[in-house]
Amino acid sequence: MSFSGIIVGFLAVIMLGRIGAVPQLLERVTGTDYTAGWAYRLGGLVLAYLYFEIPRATLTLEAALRKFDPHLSMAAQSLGAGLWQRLRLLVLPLIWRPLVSSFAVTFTVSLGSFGVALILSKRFSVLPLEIFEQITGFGNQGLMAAMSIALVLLAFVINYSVRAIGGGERALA
Amino acid sequence: MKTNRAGILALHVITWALLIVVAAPVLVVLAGAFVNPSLLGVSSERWAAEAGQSVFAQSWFGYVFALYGSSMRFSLLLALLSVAVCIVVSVPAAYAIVRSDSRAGRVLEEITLLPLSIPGIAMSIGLIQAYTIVRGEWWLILCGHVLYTIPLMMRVVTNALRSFDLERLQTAAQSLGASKWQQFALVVIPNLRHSIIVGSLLVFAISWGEFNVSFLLNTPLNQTYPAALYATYTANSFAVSSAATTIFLAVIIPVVARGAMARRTRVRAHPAGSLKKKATDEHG
Repeated sequence: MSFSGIIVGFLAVIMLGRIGAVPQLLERVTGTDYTAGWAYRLGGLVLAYLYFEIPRATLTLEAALRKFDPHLSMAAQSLGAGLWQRLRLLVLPLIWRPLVSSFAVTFTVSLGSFGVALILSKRFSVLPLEIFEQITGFGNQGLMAAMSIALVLLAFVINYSVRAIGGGERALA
Repeated sequence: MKTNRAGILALHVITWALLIVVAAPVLVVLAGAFVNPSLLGVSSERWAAEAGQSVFAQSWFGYVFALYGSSMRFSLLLALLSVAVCIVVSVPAAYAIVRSDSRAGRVLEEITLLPLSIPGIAMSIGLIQAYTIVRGEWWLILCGHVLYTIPLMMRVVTNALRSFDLERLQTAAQSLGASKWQQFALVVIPNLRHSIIVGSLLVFAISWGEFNVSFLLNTPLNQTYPAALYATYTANSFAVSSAATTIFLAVIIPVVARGAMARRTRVRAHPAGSLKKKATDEHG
């Protein structure tokens, strides 16, 4: 899905914020507003990033699984392979490359995304947010450029080493 | 057979749970935009008193349109221009890269795909520092959007060009007396029409929702709609933010849905589908 980060951040706030929909529902049902304010914790941030990334990964993997020939599965079944055996020995090796590349893509996107953190992070910060602070607040051009280069290098090194190790191809972001 | 059924049931449960998790916040936003906020329990006393006891609150859409209408128009224009630039640049570029099939071409292709792995914020800082003089001009934002979206368009078009036997089709056209230009316009472009549509929808959706690049290049005069959304999140009530988000969703969901539909009907919608099939059949 192509929701931008800030929208995911907003959705996290309305669902798990201090008076979010989930805590309110829980308060009506159980009497305590459990999960209130979760959006601002590390767990909420992770959940928001997941909301952001799962559709991307799903799209990449869906394309890969569409090419999957069901006859292979039937053949494995006829040889007596159970569900888990088929998953582990047949499906996983076949979708390994798209799996690796979707891992690389989601990692890079998460690393660089700052919209979610801009809305959600109150107690801790992420690198893109620090860069953003430098631009809007302190205006330290050198520090800002250095942090961006660090971010790009980090993205590149991890992206390419994951591909080199896992043998994945470049995927559509 | 029994374990099999249990496994498939588990997969169904996971899929449905995922669907609910993805859809629930969107539904809450829609509710927030249309329903009286006091019923949702998220409003302060003053608004609750203003809205009275009716189920449907006064609409905030008019307010959003009046305040952020200009950024909405700017974002739509930006998205349409990005699509236009992407088509005009990537179709010939992808054609040249695929046709030449040289090492230099592959290096060039890799370079055009580079922005995919550069974090958006790093790219916008690069743009700000490299073009300080023109910072604030609206077309610098357009450049950022094009830079961000063109790898996707290139990728869709090069993949499409590689999916059929381009050389054979062109040779056939040539034997019928078509010039180079006629081959490109009458054979290559019609075969690419479907991928161009898919790519355009993708570019439009990304440009419309793009925040990382445009927020830093924004000026108060040229504000993109996601930046306006950020303004409503930080400064306005839940009802106004929900109304603004609903407008955003109303634009993006049809585009994304159309894109998904187009991907699914790829073969059928292909104008030269039979030709393509024949060419690949003979080939492989």
